[in-house]
Amino acid sequence: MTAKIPRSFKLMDELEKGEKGIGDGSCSYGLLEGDDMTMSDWNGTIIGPGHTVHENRIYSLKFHCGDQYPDAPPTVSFLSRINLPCVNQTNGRVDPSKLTCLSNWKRTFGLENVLVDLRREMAAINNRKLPQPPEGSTF
Amino acid sequence: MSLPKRIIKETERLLADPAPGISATSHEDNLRYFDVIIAGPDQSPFEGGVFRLELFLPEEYPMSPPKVRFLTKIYHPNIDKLGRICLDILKDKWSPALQIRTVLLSIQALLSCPNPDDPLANDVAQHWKDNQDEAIETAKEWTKQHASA
Amino acid sequence: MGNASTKEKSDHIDGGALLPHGVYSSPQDYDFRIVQRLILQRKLAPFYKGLEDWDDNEDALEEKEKQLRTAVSSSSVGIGSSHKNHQNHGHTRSTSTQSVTRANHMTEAERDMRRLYQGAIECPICFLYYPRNINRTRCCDKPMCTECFVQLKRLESAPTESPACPYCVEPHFGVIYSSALVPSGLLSSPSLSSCQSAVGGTSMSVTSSNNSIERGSEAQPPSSPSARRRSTSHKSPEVVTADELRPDWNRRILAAAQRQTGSRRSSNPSPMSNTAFSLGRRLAAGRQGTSSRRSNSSTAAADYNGYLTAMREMGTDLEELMIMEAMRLSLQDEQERQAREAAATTAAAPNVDANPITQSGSILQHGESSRSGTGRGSATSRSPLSSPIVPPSTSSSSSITARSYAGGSRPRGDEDTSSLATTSDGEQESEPDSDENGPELLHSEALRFARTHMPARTPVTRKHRAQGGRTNAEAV
Repeated sequence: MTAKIPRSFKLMDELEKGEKGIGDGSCSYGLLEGDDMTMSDWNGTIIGPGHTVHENRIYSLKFHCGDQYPDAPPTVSFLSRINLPCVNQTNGRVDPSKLTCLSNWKRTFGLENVLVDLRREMAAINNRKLPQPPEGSTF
Repeated sequence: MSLPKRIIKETERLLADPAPGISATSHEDNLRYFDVIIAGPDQSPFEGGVFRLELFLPEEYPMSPPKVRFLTKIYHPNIDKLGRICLDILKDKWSPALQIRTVLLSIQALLSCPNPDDPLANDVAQHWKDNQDEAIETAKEWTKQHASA
Repeated sequence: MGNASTKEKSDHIDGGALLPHGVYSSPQDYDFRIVQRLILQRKLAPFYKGLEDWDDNEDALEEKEKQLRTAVSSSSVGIGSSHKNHQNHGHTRSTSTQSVTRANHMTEAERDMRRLYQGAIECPICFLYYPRNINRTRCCDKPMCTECFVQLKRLESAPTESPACPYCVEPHFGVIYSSALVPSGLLSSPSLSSCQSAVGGTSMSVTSSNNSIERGSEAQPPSSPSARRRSTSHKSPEVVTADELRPDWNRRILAAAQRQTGSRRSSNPSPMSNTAFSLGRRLAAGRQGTSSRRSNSSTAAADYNGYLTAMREMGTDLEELMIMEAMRLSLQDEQERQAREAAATTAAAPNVDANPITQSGSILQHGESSRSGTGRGSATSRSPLSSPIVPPSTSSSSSITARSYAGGSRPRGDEDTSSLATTSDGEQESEPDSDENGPELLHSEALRFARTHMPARTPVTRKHRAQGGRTNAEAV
């Protein structure tokens, strides 16, 4: 049995990582409320990948990490309108069965994985040219 | 890999010979994860309070420090809004010769001796520096409000 | 050397092993060839099997309790706390002996193993019981098993600081090993056989009244800590420092720098930039500041981040600075090493264990070097096993290490292994000529490593990452 990091310490690690900035800066996330000791609600942003219809757009998302996190994946919703097959077009909710990292969720995954996976979706060959709602519109 | 013998022995010794004002009990389903209770030290603004913390021994323990966090809200210059603790032995001054017990005693001591010069919660530290009496009053109120047994 | 192989298996020495027993399951990153060599040279205790519990016979029980208390209370640092309860130590576990015996393939010597563990002491780091001859810290004379010792290394958050003693926080952490307490049956060295009388004594250095035990052998190194030892310099030849086990630590500085730049695109949390300029100044002024830094800085991690921030803010090329710093540090380390070697030479005459072999880069096969005469002054009492014996496992395992370095340049230690393997008479000595080559090799490697790997993710980096819970842990 390897050490199983509890929810809160996992989320604190993620928070610190998010504060320092992840990857090339195209994705970021943080706590919605800085004093939320339960660390349940988070927001995130994705900068649209280049050479796609999403280029130069900034997308806002929200996450909810429930009590079972990270054993269970977070719930993920877009706040910014976006046309993607995995995103419910009425409420912005990401369909967990249609995003690889959510359907194959692992305890070691984090919010960063979700953001990176979504950005990859945007750049996917079938999605990169999908017609998009006006920039700045929200669900 | 089974639980390192050191963790088992530390847990046993914590139970057999608890430090005054401190209790630590591991979760049945995660023996590296402890529920901790620290009584607010006498003659401190936290006197009378009962503070809940959580402690986790990472895979690298004891070569890496335990992770510790306050679950009870507390008004203290070295403890932030999320309960994170600014204490050198939990970071770069960690030594594998330290133990869960010594860590918790150090946190207890930190409650007795807030250090606003090395703050984690900047606004609280500033308050402590500008008007210590008032800050201590606030800490007492918070203790009454959030840390009553 | 001949009698060594007849008396014990090549992978065992002083009743212990050349390989760890898995107390630490995470990936190990020390240079195991250096560790094996130090064990064979008897500068480091072998990897003894740590026992969960240990009881001497009933007669010795009281003695053992006393020792337990000493060992345990010594583990409490900082705020004083001592464990008075040892409720689990009262019952006898005869199986312990058998399992040890089996593990060491020495069924015929069960009695010796029993004696070896007589008066066993608890390592204050892993809480397992070991023969009382395990390593003692050079600074505060506390016990530490080899399996724990090899874990201690520079922090990734403060790679410019040598590891500190876990007990007394003295920098340049190092240990001293004396095999003088090993029961004769487990010793391959005839010259140490008279130490049999030591069996049954109490742990060395626990009380000064034990001075008289296990004396009277010409094999007794003069520096043996039978009385409470005073602090020994980390430059002393009998000391094995934690840094010695990871001669590639300057590469880690670069790897750390790479990680930092990679992961810190966004703005820094404020505490980091506070220390930025002071640290930058200090580093620029030289390394003198680092030793005192432990006492007054807030966090080393913040310092280091601040340093990087400062460099970036000053518009300097970070890569180049890191390389320069690595070069400067390795130069300094080389100077220290040479100084230590010089000290070894001068100290050699009265010290039978004097062995200037310290870092991997300094081992060469030229036994006829000018230093061999002075450096190994009193070979008479030297144990035959202090000359290198290459265990069968070396070749296969070194390839593993080589692979782990695949992303970087070839570790310097490779040459050492081959030199060990080909050295027949064991007169390995540091040779001045190649000592001078050392720093240059290091620098060119550092440069090469930096050029090749700074911009990209490399296997080396991943390797560090894999074990790097540390970085996250520290930020809490």
